[in-house]
Amino acid sequence: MNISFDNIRTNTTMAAQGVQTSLEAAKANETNLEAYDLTISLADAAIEDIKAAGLPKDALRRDDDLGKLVSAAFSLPPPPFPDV
Amino acid sequence: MKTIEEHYKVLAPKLTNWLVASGSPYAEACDLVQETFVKIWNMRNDLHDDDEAISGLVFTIARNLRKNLARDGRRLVLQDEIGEDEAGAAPQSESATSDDCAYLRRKLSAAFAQLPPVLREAYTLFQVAEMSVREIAVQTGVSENLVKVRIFRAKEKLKELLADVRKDFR
Repeated sequence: MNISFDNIRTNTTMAAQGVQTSLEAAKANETNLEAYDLTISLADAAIEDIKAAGLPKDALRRDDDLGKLVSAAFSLPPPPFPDV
Repeated sequence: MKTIEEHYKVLAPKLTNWLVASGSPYAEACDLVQETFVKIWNMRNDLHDDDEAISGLVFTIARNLRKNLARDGRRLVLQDEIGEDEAGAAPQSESATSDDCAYLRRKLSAAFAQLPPVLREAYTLFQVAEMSVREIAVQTGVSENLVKVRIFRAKEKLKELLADVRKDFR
């Protein structure tokens, strides 16, 4: 699986910086919505990357037992090409 | 450039089965596939020669048509007008009969219905529509990594839900 650890590191670092900026704004009794939104989106991206990095190698196989069952079950024929 | 008929040969089986796997009766799925390709045919002069883009467009049109159908509360044909048995499933393995496939389809559809919608969508697009992770990410508007996580979670949940069925078909 192609996982970019650099990407995870960058997103995590930037999210941490966003948290710091938001905290400083809060201490000064201000609201920095831009920093807050950026922090949330970067943190979400970092979490997704970390979760994907932890997936087993065969997580995306289509030909495992389950995949074979699903493919066999959903092999209905399509309708004919429409009369255009 | 591929003709619309050539795209149909590749995409219609995937789209038909994806629509059924994600809740449409077979007859409705067939109507939606045909209606989708009538729209694609009407757009044929504006389409770029890009398989992935055309596949994405086909699935987007079909999803929207199904949403409209659900919203209008109408059915294009009676659900029992074309039965699955009449259509005759094409089993992939020699050991699987039509009855086995119909039984499996019922069991799998019931299990899919128990998945959260985002997991069901990611998994059925991946396994039944045979889309790549990248295509699913574009289609659903989320990151590729989130798609991977959703597919994995769906598989884990389905393995739990279908433990008995999987034993029977081993």
